[in-house]
Amino acid sequence: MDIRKIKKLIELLEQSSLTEMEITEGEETVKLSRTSQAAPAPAPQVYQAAPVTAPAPSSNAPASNEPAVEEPAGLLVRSPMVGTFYASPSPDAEPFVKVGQSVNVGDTLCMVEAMKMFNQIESEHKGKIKRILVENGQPVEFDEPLFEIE
Amino acid sequence: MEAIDIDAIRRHFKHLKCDYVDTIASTQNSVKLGGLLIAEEQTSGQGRRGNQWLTPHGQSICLSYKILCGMPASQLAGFQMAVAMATLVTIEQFEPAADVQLKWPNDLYTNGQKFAGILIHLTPKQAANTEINIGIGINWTLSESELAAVDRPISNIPLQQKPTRTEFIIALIKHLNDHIQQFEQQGLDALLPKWQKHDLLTGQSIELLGHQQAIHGQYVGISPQGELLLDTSEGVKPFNSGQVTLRLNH
Repeated sequence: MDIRKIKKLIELLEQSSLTEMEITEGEETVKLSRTSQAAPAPAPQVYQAAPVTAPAPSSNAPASNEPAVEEPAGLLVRSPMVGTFYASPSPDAEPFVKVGQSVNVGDTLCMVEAMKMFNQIESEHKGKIKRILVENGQPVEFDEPLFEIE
Repeated sequence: MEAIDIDAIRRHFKHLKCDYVDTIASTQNSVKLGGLLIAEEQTSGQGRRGNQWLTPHGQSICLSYKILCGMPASQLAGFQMAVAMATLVTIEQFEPAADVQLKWPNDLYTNGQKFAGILIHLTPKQAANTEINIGIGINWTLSESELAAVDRPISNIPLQQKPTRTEFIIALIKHLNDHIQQFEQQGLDALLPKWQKHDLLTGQSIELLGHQQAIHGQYVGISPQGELLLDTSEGVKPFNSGQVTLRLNH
Protein backbone atom coordinates (compact mmCIF):
# COMPACT_ATOMS: atom_id res chain seq x y z
CA MET A 1 0.00 0.00 0.00
CA ASP A 2 1.25 3.48 -0.85
CA ILE A 3 3.04 5.10 2.12
CA ARG A 4 1.08 8.31 1.50
CA LYS A 5 -2.16 6.44 1.86
CA ILE A 6 -0.97 4.99 5.17
CA LYS A 7 0.01 8.47 6.34
CA LYS A 8 -3.49 9.70 5.54
CA LEU A 9 -5.00 6.80 7.42
CA ILE A 10 -2.90 7.75 10.46
CA GLU A 11 -4.22 11.29 10.22
CA LEU A 12 -7.76 9.97 9.97
CA LEU A 13 -7.25 7.89 13.08
CA GLU A 14 -5.76 10.87 14.93
CA GLN A 15 -8.77 12.99 14.15
CA SER A 16 -11.25 10.38 15.22
CA SER A 17 -12.08 9.03 18.61
CA LEU A 18 -11.31 5.50 17.41
CA THR A 19 -8.52 3.53 19.01
CA GLU A 20 -8.19 0.97 16.25
CA MET A 21 -8.74 0.85 12.50
CA GLU A 22 -8.26 -1.91 9.95
CA ILE A 23 -8.36 -1.38 6.20
CA THR A 24 -8.25 -4.17 3.63
CA GLU A 25 -7.44 -3.37 0.04
CA GLY A 26 -6.92 -6.24 -2.36
CA GLU A 27 -4.44 -8.58 -0.68
CA GLU A 28 -3.10 -6.07 1.76
CA THR A 29 -4.38 -5.15 5.19
CA VAL A 30 -3.30 -2.23 7.31
CA LYS A 31 -4.12 -2.25 10.99
CA LEU A 32 -3.58 0.89 13.03
CA SER A 33 -4.11 1.21 16.74
CA ARG A 34 -3.20 3.54 19.53
CA THR A 35 -3.30 3.35 23.29
CA SER A 36 -4.03 7.00 24.09
CA GLN A 37 -4.15 10.36 22.39
CA ALA A 38 -0.98 11.53 24.11
CA ALA A 39 1.11 8.64 22.86
CA PRO A 40 2.77 8.98 19.47
CA ALA A 41 1.00 7.10 16.72
CA PRO A 42 2.34 3.56 16.58
CA ALA A 43 4.14 2.42 13.48
CA PRO A 44 1.68 0.97 11.01
CA GLN A 45 1.75 -2.78 10.60
CA VAL A 46 1.32 -4.06 7.09
CA TYR A 47 0.15 -7.65 6.77
CA GLN A 48 0.14 -9.75 3.65
CA ALA A 49 -3.28 -11.26 3.51
CA ALA A 50 -3.67 -15.04 3.58
CA PRO A 51 -3.76 -16.68 0.11
CA VAL A 52 -7.48 -17.15 0.30
CA THR A 53 -8.80 -13.69 0.89
CA ALA A 54 -12.17 -12.89 2.25
CA PRO A 55 -14.40 -11.29 -0.32
CA ALA A 56 -14.21 -7.56 -0.30
CA PRO A 57 -17.35 -6.00 1.12
CA SER A 58 -19.73 -5.34 -1.70
CA SER A 59 -22.10 -2.45 -1.96
CA ASN A 60 -24.76 -4.81 -0.66
CA ALA A 61 -22.95 -5.21 2.64
CA PRO A 62 -24.95 -4.00 5.63
CA ALA A 63 -24.44 -0.33 6.26
CA SER A 64 -22.02 0.45 9.01
CA ASN A 65 -23.15 2.40 12.04
CA GLU A 66 -19.98 4.45 11.80
CA PRO A 67 -20.53 7.74 9.99
CA ALA A 68 -18.61 8.01 6.75
CA VAL A 69 -15.37 9.86 7.35
CA GLU A 70 -14.25 12.08 4.56
CA GLU A 71 -10.58 11.58 3.90
CA PRO A 72 -8.57 14.78 4.23
CA ALA A 73 -7.11 15.63 0.86
CA GLY A 74 -5.56 19.00 1.60
CA LEU A 75 -2.64 20.32 3.61
CA LEU A 76 -2.98 20.16 7.36
CA VAL A 77 -2.12 22.98 9.74
CA ARG A 78 -1.18 21.45 13.09
CA SER A 79 -1.00 22.82 16.60
CA PRO A 80 2.58 23.64 17.60
CA MET A 81 1.75 23.09 21.28
CA VAL A 82 -0.65 21.75 23.85
CA GLY A 83 -3.28 24.34 24.71
CA THR A 84 -6.76 25.67 24.07
CA PHE A 85 -7.91 26.46 20.53
CA TYR A 86 -9.57 29.82 19.88
CA ALA A 87 -11.06 30.66 16.50
CA SER A 88 -11.40 34.39 17.15
CA PRO A 89 -9.29 37.14 18.77
CA SER A 90 -11.92 37.65 21.50
CA PRO A 91 -15.15 35.82 22.38
CA ASP A 92 -17.46 38.31 20.68
CA ALA A 93 -15.27 38.91 17.61
CA GLU A 94 -15.56 37.33 14.19
CA PRO A 95 -13.42 34.21 13.67
CA PHE A 96 -10.03 34.74 12.03
CA VAL A 97 -11.06 32.46 9.15
CA LYS A 98 -14.13 30.59 7.92
CA VAL A 99 -14.55 27.50 5.77
CA GLY A 100 -14.24 28.44 2.11
CA GLN A 101 -12.12 31.48 2.80
CA SER A 102 -8.88 31.98 0.85
CA VAL A 103 -5.75 32.43 2.92
CA ASN A 104 -2.19 33.45 2.15
CA VAL A 105 1.04 32.40 3.81
CA GLY A 106 1.32 34.34 7.07
CA ASP A 107 -2.39 34.95 7.58
CA THR A 108 -3.54 34.35 11.15
CA LEU A 109 -5.78 31.28 11.36
CA CYS A 110 -6.40 30.98 15.11
CA MET A 111 -4.86 31.32 18.54
CA VAL A 112 -3.77 28.55 20.87
CA GLU A 113 -3.63 29.55 24.52
CA ALA A 114 -1.13 27.82 26.75
CA MET A 115 -0.90 29.00 30.33
CA LYS A 116 -2.47 32.37 29.46
CA MET A 117 -0.04 33.05 26.63
CA PHE A 118 -1.81 33.45 23.33
CA ASN A 119 0.03 31.93 20.39
CA GLN A 120 -0.97 33.26 17.03
CA ILE A 121 -1.04 30.43 14.50
CA GLU A 122 -0.28 31.54 10.97
CA SER A 123 -0.89 29.71 7.73
CA GLU A 124 2.12 28.07 6.17
CA HIS A 125 0.17 27.47 2.99
CA LYS A 126 -1.70 29.46 0.39
CA GLY A 127 -5.11 28.09 -0.43
CA LYS A 128 -8.68 27.77 0.70
CA ILE A 129 -9.87 26.63 4.14
CA LYS A 130 -11.51 23.29 3.45
CA ARG A 131 -12.26 22.21 7.00
CA ILE A 132 -11.78 23.44 10.55
CA LEU A 133 -11.05 20.30 12.51
CA VAL A 134 -11.47 21.54 16.09
CA GLU A 135 -14.06 23.59 17.90
CA ASN A 136 -13.65 26.96 19.56
CA GLY A 137 -12.47 26.54 23.15
CA GLN A 138 -11.45 22.91 22.66
CA PRO A 139 -8.22 21.60 24.21
CA VAL A 140 -5.69 20.58 21.56
CA GLU A 141 -2.69 18.30 21.72
CA PHE A 142 0.74 18.92 20.26
CA ASP A 143 0.69 18.29 16.49
CA GLU A 144 -3.09 17.88 16.40
CA PRO A 145 -4.50 18.91 13.00
CA LEU A 146 -6.43 22.20 13.26
CA PHE A 147 -7.20 23.15 9.67
CA GLU A 148 -7.27 21.52 6.29
CA ILE A 149 -6.29 23.79 3.45
CA GLU A 150 -6.76 22.90 -0.22
CA MET B 1 -1.27 62.47 39.87
CA GLU B 2 1.77 63.63 37.93
CA ALA B 3 2.05 62.72 34.28
CA ILE B 4 4.54 60.08 33.18
CA ASP B 5 7.88 61.61 32.12
CA ILE B 6 8.37 59.84 28.81
CA ASP B 7 11.62 61.75 28.09
CA ALA B 8 13.19 60.35 31.26
CA ILE B 9 12.19 56.84 30.12
CA ARG B 10 13.61 57.46 26.64
CA ARG B 11 16.95 58.56 28.15
CA HIS B 12 17.21 55.23 29.96
CA PHE B 13 16.31 53.08 26.97
CA LYS B 14 17.88 54.71 23.92
CA HIS B 15 17.27 51.70 21.67
CA LEU B 16 13.57 51.48 22.48
CA LYS B 17 10.85 53.32 20.61
CA CYS B 18 9.02 54.78 23.61
CA ASP B 19 5.58 56.23 23.08
CA TYR B 20 3.20 57.80 25.53
CA VAL B 21 -0.45 58.47 24.78
CA ASP B 22 -3.25 59.89 26.86
CA THR B 23 -6.06 57.64 25.67
CA ILE B 24 -5.96 54.54 23.54
CA ALA B 25 -8.28 51.60 22.88
CA SER B 26 -5.65 49.07 23.95
CA THR B 27 -1.86 49.34 24.16
CA GLN B 28 -1.59 45.65 23.29
CA ASN B 29 -3.07 46.20 19.82
CA SER B 30 -0.97 49.27 18.98
CA VAL B 31 2.58 48.71 20.24
CA LYS B 32 5.24 48.25 17.55
CA LEU B 33 8.12 45.78 17.55
CA GLY B 34 11.05 47.12 19.56
CA GLY B 35 8.69 49.52 21.25
CA LEU B 36 7.24 50.46 24.59
CA LEU B 37 3.80 52.01 24.59
CA ILE B 38 2.42 53.61 27.75
CA ALA B 39 -1.11 54.95 28.08
CA GLU B 40 -2.86 56.97 30.79
CA GLU B 41 -6.21 55.48 29.93
CA GLN B 42 -7.49 52.51 27.94
CA THR B 43 -11.00 52.59 26.60
CA SER B 44 -11.07 48.88 25.83
CA GLY B 45 -8.23 47.46 27.86
CA GLN B 46 -7.82 43.74 27.41
CA GLY B 47 -7.68 40.99 29.92
CA ARG B 48 -7.72 37.32 29.06
CA ARG B 49 -10.17 36.37 26.27
CA GLY B 50 -11.93 39.70 26.13
CA ASN B 51 -12.24 40.22 29.88
CA GLN B 52 -12.09 43.94 30.36
CA TRP B 53 -9.12 45.41 32.21
CA LEU B 54 -10.20 48.61 33.92
CA THR B 55 -7.82 51.52 33.35
CA PRO B 56 -9.28 54.78 34.64
CA HIS B 57 -7.39 57.89 33.58
CA GLY B 58 -4.03 58.40 35.31
CA GLN B 59 -4.65 55.85 38.09
CA SER B 60 -2.73 52.89 36.66
CA ILE B 61 0.41 51.76 34.99
CA CYS B 62 -0.62 50.42 31.66
CA LEU B 63 1.94 49.45 29.06
CA SER B 64 2.83 47.07 26.27
CA TYR B 65 6.37 46.09 25.41
CA LYS B 66 7.06 44.18 22.20
CA ILE B 67 10.33 42.35 21.63
CA LEU B 68 11.80 39.77 19.27
CA CYS B 69 13.06 36.63 20.99
CA GLY B 70 15.39 34.07 19.40
CA MET B 71 13.37 31.10 20.63
CA PRO B 72 10.39 29.35 19.04
CA ALA B 73 7.04 29.67 20.82
CA SER B 74 7.17 25.99 21.75
CA GLN B 75 10.13 26.72 24.04
CA LEU B 76 8.54 29.71 25.73
CA ALA B 77 6.35 27.80 28.18
CA GLY B 78 6.74 29.54 31.52
CA PHE B 79 7.85 32.84 30.00
CA GLN B 80 4.81 34.59 31.52
CA MET B 81 6.02 33.55 34.97
CA ALA B 82 9.33 35.34 34.32
CA VAL B 83 7.34 38.49 33.52
CA ALA B 84 5.33 38.19 36.73
CA MET B 85 8.54 37.76 38.71
CA ALA B 86 10.16 40.79 37.06
CA THR B 87 7.16 42.79 38.28
CA LEU B 88 7.52 41.35 41.78
CA VAL B 89 11.27 42.16 41.88
CA THR B 90 10.52 45.72 40.78
CA ILE B 91 8.10 46.15 43.68
CA GLU B 92 10.67 44.71 46.08
CA GLN B 93 13.27 47.16 44.82
CA PHE B 94 11.13 49.95 46.26
CA GLU B 95 9.84 48.03 49.27
CA PRO B 96 11.68 44.79 50.10
CA ALA B 97 9.01 43.51 52.48
CA ALA B 98 6.04 44.27 50.23
CA ASP B 99 3.21 41.76 50.67
CA VAL B 100 2.98 40.20 47.20
CA GLN B 101 1.81 36.74 46.16
CA LEU B 102 2.05 35.17 42.71
CA LYS B 103 -0.81 33.16 41.30
CA TRP B 104 -0.03 30.69 38.52
CA PRO B 105 0.68 31.47 35.83
CA ASN B 106 1.00 35.25 35.89
CA ASP B 107 -1.19 37.21 38.31
CA LEU B 108 0.00 39.34 41.22
CA TYR B 109 -2.01 39.47 44.43
CA THR B 110 -1.86 41.13 47.80
CA ASN B 111 -4.02 40.10 50.73
CA GLY B 112 -6.15 37.92 48.46
CA GLN B 113 -6.80 40.75 46.00
CA LYS B 114 -5.42 41.02 42.48
CA PHE B 115 -3.55 44.25 41.72
CA ALA B 116 -1.64 43.45 38.53
CA GLY B 117 -2.31 41.42 35.40
CA ILE B 118 -0.17 40.29 32.53
CA LEU B 119 -1.26 39.42 29.02
CA ILE B 120 1.10 37.91 26.48
CA HIS B 121 0.70 37.36 22.75
CA LEU B 122 3.22 35.37 20.74
CA THR B 123 3.64 35.55 16.98
CA PRO B 124 5.98 33.14 15.21
CA LYS B 125 8.55 34.76 12.93
CA GLN B 126 11.10 33.39 10.47
CA ALA B 127 14.07 31.28 11.62
CA ALA B 128 12.37 30.12 14.83
CA ASN B 129 12.15 33.64 16.24
CA THR B 130 9.09 34.79 18.14
CA GLU B 131 7.61 38.22 18.53
CA ILE B 132 6.57 38.60 22.17
CA ASN B 133 4.01 41.22 23.07
CA ILE B 134 3.96 41.77 26.82
CA GLY B 135 1.04 43.71 28.27
CA ILE B 136 1.20 44.75 31.92
CA GLY B 137 -1.51 46.48 33.89
CA ILE B 138 -0.98 47.61 37.49
CA ASN B 139 -3.58 49.27 39.67
CA TRP B 140 -1.75 52.27 41.16
CA THR B 141 -4.11 54.76 42.77
CA LEU B 142 -7.63 53.63 41.94
CA SER B 143 -10.27 55.08 44.27
CA GLU B 144 -12.25 52.92 46.65
CA SER B 145 -15.29 53.22 44.44
CA GLU B 146 -13.33 52.26 41.32
CA LEU B 147 -11.92 49.22 43.10
CA ALA B 148 -15.37 48.24 44.32
CA ALA B 149 -16.85 48.53 40.82
CA VAL B 150 -15.04 45.37 39.67
CA ASP B 151 -16.89 42.13 40.37
CA ARG B 152 -13.81 40.42 41.81
CA PRO B 153 -11.66 41.55 44.76
CA ILE B 154 -8.97 43.89 43.47
CA SER B 155 -6.65 46.39 45.10
CA ASN B 156 -3.88 48.87 44.38
CA ILE B 157 -0.20 47.95 44.33
CA PRO B 158 0.90 47.28 47.94
CA LEU B 159 3.54 50.02 48.25
CA GLN B 160 3.34 52.29 51.30
CA GLN B 161 5.72 54.88 49.85
CA LYS B 162 5.07 54.94 46.14
CA PRO B 163 7.80 56.12 43.78
CA THR B 164 6.66 58.08 40.74
CA ARG B 165 5.17 55.90 38.01
CA THR B 166 8.07 57.03 35.79
CA GLU B 167 10.60 55.64 38.29
CA PHE B 168 8.64 52.43 38.58
CA ILE B 169 8.40 51.91 34.80
CA ILE B 170 12.15 52.49 34.32
CA ALA B 171 12.90 49.90 37.01
CA LEU B 172 10.29 47.51 35.58
CA ILE B 173 11.74 47.56 32.04
CA LYS B 174 15.25 46.93 33.43
CA HIS B 175 14.05 43.97 35.50
CA LEU B 176 12.03 42.68 32.56
CA ASN B 177 15.12 42.76 30.33
CA ASP B 178 17.14 40.94 33.01
CA HIS B 179 14.46 38.29 33.53
CA ILE B 180 13.96 37.74 29.79
CA GLN B 181 17.70 37.24 29.37
CA GLN B 182 17.80 34.85 32.31
CA PHE B 183 14.85 32.91 30.89
CA GLU B 184 16.52 32.64 27.48
CA GLN B 185 19.71 31.30 29.06
CA GLN B 186 18.40 29.06 31.83
CA GLY B 187 14.67 28.66 31.38
CA LEU B 188 12.50 28.72 34.47
CA ASP B 189 14.87 26.73 36.69
CA ALA B 190 16.72 29.69 38.14
CA LEU B 191 13.48 31.56 38.79
CA LEU B 192 11.39 28.86 40.48
CA PRO B 193 12.82 29.18 44.03
CA LYS B 194 11.79 32.84 44.05
CA TRP B 195 8.33 31.88 42.80
CA GLN B 196 7.89 29.31 45.54
CA LYS B 197 8.52 31.93 48.24
CA HIS B 198 5.58 33.98 46.96
CA ASP B 199 3.33 31.20 45.69
CA LEU B 200 -0.31 31.98 46.46
CA LEU B 201 -1.38 28.40 45.71
CA THR B 202 0.85 26.66 48.27
CA GLY B 203 -1.21 24.27 50.36
CA GLN B 204 -4.43 24.96 48.45
CA SER B 205 -7.11 22.73 47.05
CA ILE B 206 -7.66 23.72 43.46
CA GLU B 207 -10.37 23.51 40.90
CA LEU B 208 -9.12 23.80 37.34
CA LEU B 209 -11.78 24.96 34.91
CA GLY B 210 -11.80 25.04 31.14
CA HIS B 211 -11.38 21.31 30.66
CA GLN B 212 -14.23 19.06 29.62
CA GLN B 213 -14.90 18.63 33.29
CA ALA B 214 -13.47 20.57 36.20
CA ILE B 215 -10.35 18.97 37.67
CA HIS B 216 -9.95 18.92 41.42
CA GLY B 217 -6.68 18.42 43.20
CA GLN B 218 -4.24 19.45 45.83
CA TYR B 219 -1.60 21.92 44.63
CA VAL B 220 1.85 20.35 44.57
CA GLY B 221 3.95 22.95 42.74
CA ILE B 222 5.20 24.09 39.35
CA SER B 223 7.07 21.88 36.87
CA PRO B 224 10.31 23.10 35.19
CA GLN B 225 8.15 23.78 32.11
CA GLY B 226 5.86 26.04 34.11
CA GLU B 227 2.99 23.55 34.34
CA LEU B 228 0.72 23.37 37.35
CA LEU B 229 1.25 20.13 39.26
CA LEU B 230 -1.88 18.79 40.94
CA ASP B 231 -2.32 15.74 43.09
CA THR B 232 -5.55 14.36 41.67
CA SER B 233 -7.41 11.11 42.23
CA GLU B 234 -5.16 9.69 39.48
CA GLY B 235 -1.89 10.83 41.05
CA VAL B 236 0.22 13.92 40.42
CA LYS B 237 -0.42 15.31 36.95
CA PRO B 238 0.85 18.42 35.11
CA PHE B 239 -1.63 20.92 33.62
CA ASN B 240 -0.83 23.70 31.27
CA SER B 241 -4.16 25.29 30.61
CA GLY B 242 -7.36 26.14 32.32
CA GLN B 243 -8.56 28.73 34.75
CA VAL B 244 -7.55 28.22 38.36
CA THR B 245 -10.10 28.77 41.06
CA LEU B 246 -9.29 28.24 44.68
CA ARG B 247 -11.52 26.20 46.93
CA LEU B 248 -11.51 27.00 50.59
CA ASN B 249 -10.15 24.30 52.83
CA HIS B 250 -12.69 23.44 55.45
